[in-house]
Amino acid sequence: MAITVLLSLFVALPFYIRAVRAAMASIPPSIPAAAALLRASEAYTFFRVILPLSHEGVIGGFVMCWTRALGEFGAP
Amino acid sequence: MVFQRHALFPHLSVFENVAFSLRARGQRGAPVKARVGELLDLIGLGDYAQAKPDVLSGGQCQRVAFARALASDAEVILFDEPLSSLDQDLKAGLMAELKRLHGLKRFTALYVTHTVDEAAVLGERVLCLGDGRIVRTCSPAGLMSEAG
Repeated sequence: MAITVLLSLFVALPFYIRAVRAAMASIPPSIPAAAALLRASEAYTFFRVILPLSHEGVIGGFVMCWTRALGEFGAP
Repeated sequence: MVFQRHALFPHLSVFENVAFSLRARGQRGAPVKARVGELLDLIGLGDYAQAKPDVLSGGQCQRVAFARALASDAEVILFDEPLSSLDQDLKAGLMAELKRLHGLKRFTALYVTHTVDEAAVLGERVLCLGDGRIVRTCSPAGLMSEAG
């Protein structure tokens, strides 16, 4: 079972990474720069700014990743 | 720093934008509310505290960006052509607003502009750059007399 989950993750993870990366790349560079200049730490900026602004990609990637992974179990 | 295109956080309300640097430094509760309330009253946007930046005009966004910079308690605030994307009427109003805020808060400001009028109205000391170097230092009055 663990091997199946691991292999499914290996196959499906690129879908997730691709979606999240595209969402994060669409954030204008001035936004994280503004957060840094307002003395926010990288972790605070990530959770308060980057993650909320890229939530559609995070959720979309998660759905695609799970759909692909679950599809493995239906294969003969 | 105040950016040319304000760079407000689009998913946060006006209140949360101004409170950002305070919260990032660990402040919570009543002191944050009081400080942000004071700054929003200062820029005349107290009624817009819960509004998102996308419903504000360009001038209002820049005022929020001023308040956000002031909330950071930075010793020096860099203004990177903050009025360049605004029309003339709005620009004149915001220059007066900025001068008033500066008079009230007495922070050190480094203001970058390509416009002689802005340098003359807002500046106390004008440095002219050419090829990445300071080529001239003068007073706002001196700049205006040279510009004619």
